[in-house]
Amino acid sequence: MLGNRDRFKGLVVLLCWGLLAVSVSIHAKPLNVVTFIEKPLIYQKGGEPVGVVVDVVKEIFRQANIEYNLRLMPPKRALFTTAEADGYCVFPIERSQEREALFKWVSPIVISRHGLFSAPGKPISIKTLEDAKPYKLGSYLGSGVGEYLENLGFNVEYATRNELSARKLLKSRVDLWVSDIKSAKYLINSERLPITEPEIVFFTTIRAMACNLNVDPSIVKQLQKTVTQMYRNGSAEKIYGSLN
Amino acid sequence: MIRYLIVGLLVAGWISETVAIESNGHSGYELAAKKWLKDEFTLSTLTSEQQMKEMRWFTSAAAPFRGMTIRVVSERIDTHTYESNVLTRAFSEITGINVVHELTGEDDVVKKIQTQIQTGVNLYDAYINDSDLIGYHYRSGETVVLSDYMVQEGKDVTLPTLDIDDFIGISFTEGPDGRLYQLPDQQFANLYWYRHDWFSRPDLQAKFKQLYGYELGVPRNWSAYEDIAEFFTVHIKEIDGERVWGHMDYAKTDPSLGWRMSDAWLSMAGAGDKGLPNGYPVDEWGIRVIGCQPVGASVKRGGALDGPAAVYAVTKFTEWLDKYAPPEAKNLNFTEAGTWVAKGNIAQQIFWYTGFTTSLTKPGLSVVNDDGTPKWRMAPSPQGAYWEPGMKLGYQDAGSWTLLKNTPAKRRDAAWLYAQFVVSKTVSLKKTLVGLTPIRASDIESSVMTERAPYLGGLVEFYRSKGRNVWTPTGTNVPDYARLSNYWWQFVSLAVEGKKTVEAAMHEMAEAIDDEMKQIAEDSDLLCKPILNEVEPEDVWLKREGAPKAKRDEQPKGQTSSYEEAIRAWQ
Repeated sequence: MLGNRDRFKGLVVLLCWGLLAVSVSIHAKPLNVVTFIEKPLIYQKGGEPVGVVVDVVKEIFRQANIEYNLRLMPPKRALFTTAEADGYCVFPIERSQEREALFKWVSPIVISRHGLFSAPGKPISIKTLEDAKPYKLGSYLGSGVGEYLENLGFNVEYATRNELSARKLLKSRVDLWVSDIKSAKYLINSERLPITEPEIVFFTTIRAMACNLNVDPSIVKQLQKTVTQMYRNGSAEKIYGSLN
Repeated sequence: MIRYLIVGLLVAGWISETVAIESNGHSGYELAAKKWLKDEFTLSTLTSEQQMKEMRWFTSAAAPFRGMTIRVVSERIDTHTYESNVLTRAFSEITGINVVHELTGEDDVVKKIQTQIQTGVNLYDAYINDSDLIGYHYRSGETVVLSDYMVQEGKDVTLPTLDIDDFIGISFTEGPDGRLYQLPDQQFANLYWYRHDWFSRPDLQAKFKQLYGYELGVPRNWSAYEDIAEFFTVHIKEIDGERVWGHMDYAKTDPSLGWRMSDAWLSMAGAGDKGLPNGYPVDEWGIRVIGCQPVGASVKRGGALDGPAAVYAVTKFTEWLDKYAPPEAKNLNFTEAGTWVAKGNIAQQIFWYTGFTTSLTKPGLSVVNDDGTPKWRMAPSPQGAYWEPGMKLGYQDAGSWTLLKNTPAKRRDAAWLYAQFVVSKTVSLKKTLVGLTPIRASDIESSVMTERAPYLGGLVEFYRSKGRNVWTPTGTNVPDYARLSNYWWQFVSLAVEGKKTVEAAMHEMAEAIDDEMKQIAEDSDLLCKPILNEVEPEDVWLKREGAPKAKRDEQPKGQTSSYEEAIRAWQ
């Protein structure tokens, strides 16, 4: 099979012109941290990224005493930028064995469970993930879960954003929508989509902050140490608690 | 406390995913059991009546947990695919407990269990986690001690017919304290793999003898392996019009590159000490212990990770990859390389994971005869120049059920039922035939396996021999596998990619592992935590008895055996 890394590099070439502006030296400070909209975890307010996951990441940097600039990008571009540009980190992306060697990691930032949602009036009974093999699944570009399913031989069609896959489901352009269940529930409620419970919640991912391989290892180590402490001392819990 | 942290993000999902169980009386579950026994579990070492009795026990024991959905995770091999796709369905219909059995990369399994331990978040209710982590499980106090659990709080959910003594790999999952921390689910070994049909050809035998002065056969040492690799790649080049290669491996910069090394290369080379299941006081990772306390991996602290044998191992790995393997090998990982030999253009592989046997036995493959017998065989791997009798002979993975203490008790109990179901005697023989990763002596000795043996290229012979005891997983010298295993692929890849010499990469890795062990000691509450030896000149350690061993002749004359002689070594 064509490895993720090969496909990844091919797409990077296509996007390299867009990355000229992000050339940063290895030791430049502050760190460039990018994220993408994934409601309700991350959304935009006054042009800035906000939300509980953003709050957690801001707290990590504050406690680690590391300077950074934070901004939004589309998910796939955020991923490519981080892979190619020194001094960049991206969150929250799925940490996986296939991606492990491509970045340095700070994890977990958030843990997600992913489900398969069927269209209203077109329920598809899914007892095991294998039951979804005959169907067209809708995911978004940059989704680690989309890549996971594709590598297992599933028929995955990508949109640029998660909510577009939900709309494709409603227009019967895909048979099942693959989504983080928390994001899906938010979209279903806020946009009053006639989509109900997932047919199956099939996969759990550790979502992390991934940093370019040239980011100073001591910075990554300090961030990791801080994340672990935040989980242990309850400060991350306190922030995530605000979501409810 | 921390388990409530992400619960806010998860709990709604858990509730909604709980599949409503249809009105299914006790007789409904019994009918389901009968159906599964008739349609799927047709081969078992139990009689039909015994199977039915075992299934009735599951139905009854599951009553308090009906309607729950539990989550388990394992690596991606054929055995677990069968569990995920078929056995979850059977378990659900027989017990009323739903299971989502996720398949993912082995490194992901390690990262996930590490995350649950570190954060307390209940990611999964059970893990199928290699017994390579046994050193951590018994030190950390985070893992349910199964031998205690089964007779205490888990008594009511422990299968009376589990028969622990029937598991061939049970010793791999016991701590130095003699307690059981994990229960084997599947096992596969690293064995030598070769094209028996090519090695049997008189023309190739004659040409090999003419060039190298001895018989073409199963290599007993690395010199012979190297000669055979050169013979096919350089001198034969083509068989039946197809380009052939004398060696196969994988070396993509990926976590699985680390296992390639830590699983077997150093132990086959002979880096550690004598002793079973792992070298003592220096193990196959090159970590020295005093009692149970790790004291160093680098030679200057008494370890063998950067000693001559380790450097020899990685040097041969990179050299053979460059000279004798197909060019694609450098860009493949464990999963991608596993079934590569099925393409039919590889003469031999120094060690090959038997977990891929199923993939190599499919009718129609170029490596399978018309009658379904294989053209290939598995045999003991050749030993490196530093290997000595009394040392472990190879690596065996024992993917094993692992329960964490921070999993809610009810979820843990329900998961334990599923774990026992997939290894029960009702199920295990069929599962063994599907995935060919045997765990039970009773299955291995069954008449069914005798009938299958001619089609499995030596797998049954291996598992019926004493060999299965001397192919062993990573041992208890490794205090924290999750934290230390990353270093292997990160440093070995530097040598593979030519960014550093092998010597430099191994020295830096040994130094990094020493530093990490020191850090582990400082920031954890492990039992038997590392206390590093003071630094001494390397020469001092190399002159002492045992590992680390001083440099020796690394190119002795090649030696080979016939297949029959080779597998006799297992008896």
